[in-house]
Amino acid sequence: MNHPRPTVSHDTQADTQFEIRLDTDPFWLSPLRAFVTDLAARADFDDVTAADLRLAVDEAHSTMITAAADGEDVIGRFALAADRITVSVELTPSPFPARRTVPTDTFSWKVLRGMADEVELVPDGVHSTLGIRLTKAKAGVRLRRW
Amino acid sequence: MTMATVDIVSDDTERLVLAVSGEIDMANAAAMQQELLSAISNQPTSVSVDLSGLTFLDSAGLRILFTLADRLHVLQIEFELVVPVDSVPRRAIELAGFPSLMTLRTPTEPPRAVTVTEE
Repeated sequence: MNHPRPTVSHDTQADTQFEIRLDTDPFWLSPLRAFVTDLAARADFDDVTAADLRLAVDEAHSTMITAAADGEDVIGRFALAADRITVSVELTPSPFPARRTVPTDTFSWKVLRGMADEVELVPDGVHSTLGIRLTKAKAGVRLRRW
Repeated sequence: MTMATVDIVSDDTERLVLAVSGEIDMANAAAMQQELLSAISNQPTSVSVDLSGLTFLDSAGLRILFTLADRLHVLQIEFELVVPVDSVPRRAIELAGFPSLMTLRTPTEPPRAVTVTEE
């Protein structure tokens, strides 16, 4: 099976922003986790917190892969701050987006809520869910829960 | 690519012990479910699945374990998972809501004596 190369872009204006665009083949989940592990290590996350982030990012991507329509891609945006990493996982808007909801009564959502410090659905402003945004803080940093 | 393997550690007529290693996610969960089911082709009294070698397990992997627990319960086959304390797979299992249809054991705990209860 041929897999197109993923796109990785680095925002040089803000030194801590990465964007990875993948097609919806679950094949990419494993390399994505390797990237997250490396990113967390560079951000000085300890091993346990890095493992939590890896699982949360995997769940968010898996959820959006399942929700994607034909031809849509999954874009993961990674923002590094001094004490946290925020990840936004969204689908590329298709010209005629389907009415899309992301179920939150699933194992996946439970695991995601447990592994990340903050999780929220990202609405598209019309009638659909565009993606998931999650935040994981370094060990010992308490984020405000809504 | 997500890789995982199922090994038969011991297989006597009563107790089947399997070891799963590698990673399980939505890319290989369906294939792993088939591997596990085909490894349990006979009718043992109990099945133990050792996840000590598993480095990653997400909700797709949890789903196949919980499905397996359901099936074995119907067949009145005892089911236990061996998962190290503080491992990511164990935390995921506990977060998802550990089902009552199986036993969770650490690698250092002795296996439970096999008891089959009539319903």
